[in-house]
Amino acid sequence: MPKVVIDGREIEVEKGTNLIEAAKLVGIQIPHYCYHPRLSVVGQCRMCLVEIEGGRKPVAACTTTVERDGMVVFTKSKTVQESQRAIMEFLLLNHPLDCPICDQAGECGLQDYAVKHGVAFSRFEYDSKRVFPDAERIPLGPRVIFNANRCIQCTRCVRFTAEITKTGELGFFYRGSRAIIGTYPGKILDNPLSECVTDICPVGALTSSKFRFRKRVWYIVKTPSICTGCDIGCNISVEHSNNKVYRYKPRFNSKVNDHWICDYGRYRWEDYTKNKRLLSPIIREKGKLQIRSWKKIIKVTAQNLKASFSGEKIILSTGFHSCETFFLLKKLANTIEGTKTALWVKKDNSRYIPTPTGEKRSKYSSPNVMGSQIVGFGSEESFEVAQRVLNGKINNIHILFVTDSFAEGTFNDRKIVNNLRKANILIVAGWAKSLLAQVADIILPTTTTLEEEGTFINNESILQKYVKALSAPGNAIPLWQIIIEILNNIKPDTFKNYENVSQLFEMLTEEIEELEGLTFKKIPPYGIDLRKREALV
Amino acid sequence: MNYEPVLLRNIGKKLYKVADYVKEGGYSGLEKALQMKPEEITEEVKKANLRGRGGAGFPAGVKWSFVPKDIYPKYLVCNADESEPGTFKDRVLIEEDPHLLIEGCAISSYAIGANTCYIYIRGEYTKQADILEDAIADAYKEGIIGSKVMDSNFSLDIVVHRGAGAYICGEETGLLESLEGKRGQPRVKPPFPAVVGAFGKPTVINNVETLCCVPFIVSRGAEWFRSIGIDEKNCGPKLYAISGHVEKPGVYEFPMGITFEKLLEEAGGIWQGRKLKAFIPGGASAPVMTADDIGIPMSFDHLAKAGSMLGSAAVIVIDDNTCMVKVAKTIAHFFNHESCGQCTPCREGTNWLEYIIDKVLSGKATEKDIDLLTGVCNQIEGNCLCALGDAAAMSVRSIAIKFKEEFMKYVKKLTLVRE
Repeated sequence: MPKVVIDGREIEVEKGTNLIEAAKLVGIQIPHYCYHPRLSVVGQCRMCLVEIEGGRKPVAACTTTVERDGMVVFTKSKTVQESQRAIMEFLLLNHPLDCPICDQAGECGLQDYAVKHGVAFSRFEYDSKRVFPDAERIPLGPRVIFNANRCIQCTRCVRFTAEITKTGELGFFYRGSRAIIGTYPGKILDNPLSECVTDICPVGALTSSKFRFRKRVWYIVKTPSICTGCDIGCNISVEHSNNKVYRYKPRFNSKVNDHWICDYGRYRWEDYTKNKRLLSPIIREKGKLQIRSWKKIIKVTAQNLKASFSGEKIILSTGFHSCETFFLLKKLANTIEGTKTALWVKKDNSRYIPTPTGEKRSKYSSPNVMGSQIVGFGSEESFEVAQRVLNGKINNIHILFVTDSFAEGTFNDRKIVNNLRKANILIVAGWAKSLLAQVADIILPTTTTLEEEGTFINNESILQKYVKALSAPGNAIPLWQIIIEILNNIKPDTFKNYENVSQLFEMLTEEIEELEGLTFKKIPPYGIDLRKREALV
Repeated sequence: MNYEPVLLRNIGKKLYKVADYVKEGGYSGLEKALQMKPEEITEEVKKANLRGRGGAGFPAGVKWSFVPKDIYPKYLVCNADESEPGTFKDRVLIEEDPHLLIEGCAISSYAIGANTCYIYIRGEYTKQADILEDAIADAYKEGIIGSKVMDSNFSLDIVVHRGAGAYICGEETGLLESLEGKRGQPRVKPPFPAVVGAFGKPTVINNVETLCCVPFIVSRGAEWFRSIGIDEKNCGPKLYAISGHVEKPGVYEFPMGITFEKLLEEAGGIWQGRKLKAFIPGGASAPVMTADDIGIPMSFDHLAKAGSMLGSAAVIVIDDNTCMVKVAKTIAHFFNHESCGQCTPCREGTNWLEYIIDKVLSGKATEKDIDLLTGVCNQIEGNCLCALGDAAAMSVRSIAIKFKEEFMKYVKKLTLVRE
């Protein structure tokens, strides 16, 4: 492999690596706008100009590749700094400089580089900037708003639609300083990944119509998490402030979602805000709903579960729980004799993420179907039982313990709810105040994925963890905690020492072969491929 | 001047039919070429030191030899998008002697192993495109081109592709993008078109005049070609398109390296008995020369040494009644209008240049603005993706530096140079 010297640091890189990527390997950031590792290289923003020893003029680092030994690159020389200053000045010439009212402020490439590589003043002192008066607020599609005046013509979005989604809605029109991006006639930017263009837009030209003007980004706290929209397991960053989610952003993971997430997944947090939440443990006494303490509710639930009756006892779960929860649910099913497990899943292969190694496709609509199978809760049989329960095909149910109250809105379906209500005793744990929750005999409020921690295993057997982003409202507690309490109540002190997910996970690693030898804390940020047993990088 | 024209020898003879062209000795070069090996032709062109007539002056034979042998298909593209302000030499060749171009295309295609040749002709050249298409149709009919070029095993298709009027499509990679049906904007180089060109295949792109020289090199030999002109590196017959303030503007053919003084004399001198103030030797992209440079030989190397360039030999003559600030404005406006908008320095810089010059013309500028003008030129130059930005910067800067006192007259609001 050829060696290259960048700012005096030598590094061996693969032949054909461009200088931006090579510099990253030695920890040097070369500023750039138009370059994106997943898009074709066009070398047109000219921000990444570097000097090469023996070269006549500065060259663009993105278009220059290391082909043989002996290349000596300077990224901070006087010539380079002058070029960078020149490009910054050019970029800001016709830019409106409206940062105070721009939603990108705080995460804007222009702001960042202007401070780092530009000068504090402009020599442009003319009355009129180039403006596109009619193009200040153009909806390119239902989810993306375009402001042409802020655009720096890097064409990342154009190349994204041409090369990643291959839908080609966007084009680059007109010439020179009048050049503008836009949709082709008769087309709108409405593809399953359309909002990714707002992520790759380095400036405030493309903004999300749902997020814009909702929150200044510097108030935002970012918590790494996993998308629950399907079982691809896209890595996301939950961006929240004051215990309120404002948006999901994709988090790079080369083996899963690459740089992208789909628009459907991006708004899964809206499920949690659009539906009313269950806040207190409630029991139906003499036909009336009564709020009771957790201790009381757990006791009653446990009593009901362990009492012997003639009918069926079924635990109906959904694919939205963590591995730890599924593990405990299985323990619960084993503890109470004669309990059947049922797992509601929905086959769904409509979600996809294009990556360089091929397209990632969903199999189920819930994130942890694979995990439920690996810990032994879910199986083809349990999927079938769930279907039969939902369709009202099992008649003599004595106790039905439903561990989720939403399941993508399924439990708001009156027909299904009626079928489930046929059980003598209906216990519902969940976060949404759905129709099902309202007809239950015992209501156990739980946290959402955002309010707890745990692990998911995606459809390619990659184990990933998510952490707590928000605090739970009211008296809601994680489902795993509820199950442990119930188990402790049925068989006193069996699970006395499990106070957090980390300890729970230890139990999983002891009992489940696939997870042997792992610890919760040491699950790497990009997850572990359980088939190969190697940490992803 | 006693010079027998070579490229322009058929002017006025209306040789639109193959038969007429053959009567004048046409297609003998192609006939001879088909007896030779392709490499021999490339070698001969290399020996002739035929330099690209389109502007850059890159040796054509060397360019041909960059084409990889084992990748098919290959393409020859003839750049007839002549859109540099001041250039109109290719128009004359196409209009008056279309078969010479077809012959040049055929020989060059044979030399590089291309079976398809595209002639990318500027959109405004409607009449010329018609003439060329008629000539090509006749050449097909007479078996000059087609599946058997002059009864040999070599097959060649020539396709005329008409541009849509963008200057940037004269830049070779911009031309290729446009040819492929995309937005005409330059590609990143490397890879060079000789390796990855039209439709991703090896492509040689030559100017009309360059290709028109090839038949003569084949039939008369490299020695003969080198013997014309000022020296071995700057040789061959050359067309000069003279426009501006001269008595007889037009296309003239002379040996490469004729002095500007001589050229001016041939074109009848400055009109209306006025004096020479400046001249642009190679189209709007070339830095301006002053009256002091009148003795300079008009060749690639001599002009480059003097800080300008021969370009496409579009000589624009400027008399002493002309305001150089307005010349700068015209040039800046042209480049601002024609910048493709792809790369930052050219997109924003050319626009800014025109702004500053407008400010100077409006009388609101200060001396600082004139320094800013050269400063902006310096910021554009060397930072661009293609040569358009550099060209704008170099030519505007040359005017701003060499004729600074005229800019200062606007600043100081002295009597303006006459309109």
